[in-house]
Amino acid sequence: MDRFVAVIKTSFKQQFQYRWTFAVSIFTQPILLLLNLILFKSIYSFNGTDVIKGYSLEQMVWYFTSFMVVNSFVWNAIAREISYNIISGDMAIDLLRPMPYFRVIIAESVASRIIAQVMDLLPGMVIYSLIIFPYFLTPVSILRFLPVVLLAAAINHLYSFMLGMTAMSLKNNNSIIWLNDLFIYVAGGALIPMEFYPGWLNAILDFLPFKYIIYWPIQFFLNKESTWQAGAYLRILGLQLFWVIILYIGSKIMWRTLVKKFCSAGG
Amino acid sequence: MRKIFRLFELFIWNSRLAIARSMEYKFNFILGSFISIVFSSIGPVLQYLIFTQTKGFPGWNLDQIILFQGVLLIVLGLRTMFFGELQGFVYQLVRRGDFDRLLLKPYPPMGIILASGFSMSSLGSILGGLVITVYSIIKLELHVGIIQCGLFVLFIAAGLALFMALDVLFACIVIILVQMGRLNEFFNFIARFGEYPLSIYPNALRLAFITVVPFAVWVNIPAQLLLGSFDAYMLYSLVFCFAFLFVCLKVWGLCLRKYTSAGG
Repeated sequence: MDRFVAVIKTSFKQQFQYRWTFAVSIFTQPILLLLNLILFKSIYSFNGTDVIKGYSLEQMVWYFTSFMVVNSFVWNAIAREISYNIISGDMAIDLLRPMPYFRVIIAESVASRIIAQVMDLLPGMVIYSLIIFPYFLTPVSILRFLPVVLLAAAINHLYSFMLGMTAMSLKNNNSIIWLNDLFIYVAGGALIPMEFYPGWLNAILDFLPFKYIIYWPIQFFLNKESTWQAGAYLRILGLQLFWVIILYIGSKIMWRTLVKKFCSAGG
Repeated sequence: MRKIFRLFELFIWNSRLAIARSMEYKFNFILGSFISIVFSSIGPVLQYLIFTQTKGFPGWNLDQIILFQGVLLIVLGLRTMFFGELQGFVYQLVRRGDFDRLLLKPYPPMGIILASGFSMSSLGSILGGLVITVYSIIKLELHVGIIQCGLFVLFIAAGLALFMALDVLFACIVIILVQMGRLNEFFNFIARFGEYPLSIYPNALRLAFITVVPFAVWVNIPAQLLLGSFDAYMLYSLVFCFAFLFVCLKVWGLCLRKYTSAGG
């Protein structure tokens, strides 16, 4: 555990040098927020309604900003880093370290998320709230949101690790990473609230992990009515935990199998 | 003129290299092209979902908005094809200190930068956009004449010139600030204002997108042309578009004078 914390500290110091890179969202997200505000104001007014698919205008606009909030917890570059390390030949050195590669890469990612919270999320929330205030947020809803988003982060980190390992046989796995982005965007509900999807599609997507990485954390952040029931809350946490266990076992099996076949190249 | 021709030759040379590089990882290239096509269909599908479950945007029906999405895919695809690698190229040049070497070459540095942006990754987007646009033209029973086609191509070219201008501005900021990661995000988000019909914007913004920041040339005007409407404001946008590029090139000249070496 001490070594894990030490890697987090070192990565934090390294990545904090690029802290303004993390802070770019402070400038970019208000642009997106304004664009969505204009777009949905126009749609709501043209439709002559206050609620579309269970979302008020404020919640609809915040849906897309919530994706950024959730991303500040769940996003990682693990898959790309593994691919880069394999192509550049750095993986051979990483494997010689006195700490499992899995822990090193997770620790580095945790460090980057801490910086994202401090440099990106906190100041960002102040600015976004000045544009359109999130009246739906309550202290209780924030407390309910945190475990959900932390488990979402765990799912995404494990999933990204498995995705990154495909580079061990493919070398350049950029296309697989794009495929992952596609799944996250479509199957995770990052592009549009999933209530717009047909029922059958939502039923299928319930069996995949992507909804539990993006859509459900957003629902809890928006404090939607569907999240108020204790039963629903525990069901989501349970399903997230299920995916964490499945992906953890999967990543361990995949690592053991692929690392034996791994042949260092590049450099 | 001779310099421009030689820069065009350089662009062709760089493009060939980029294609050869893409082919090095064949599986990655094939899967990437397939994903690019799937990605391309997302925009129209989302609009379909919005339009079938709400009344949509003022002034547009479902078929018209699908045509709009088709044009958007063509424009974004062409942008990526011509300038897709440009932002990464500029970042690397300045960080590694290679930009100094570029200054010694017998071509304008911006010319070399603009000739180095080719990317194959958007092929699927362009093909998808063409299919959707042709499908929408047939579905809407539009009559597209030679003049309309000519104007369509002209405005698409103007749109690419505007993207070029934004990339010049991007390069200006990078050579002055050096370390500014995710700056491309900022530019991409700004450009997203051009991806929606003008009718959703308040009047002041609508006027701005036709004149000072003529984002209307990207999709709005080409789509309107295909739908058979032509207005004088479109010509203003064309003029403002090239004026914007001219101003950005002047700013580049000023930034170049202030440039101090970095990286290495």
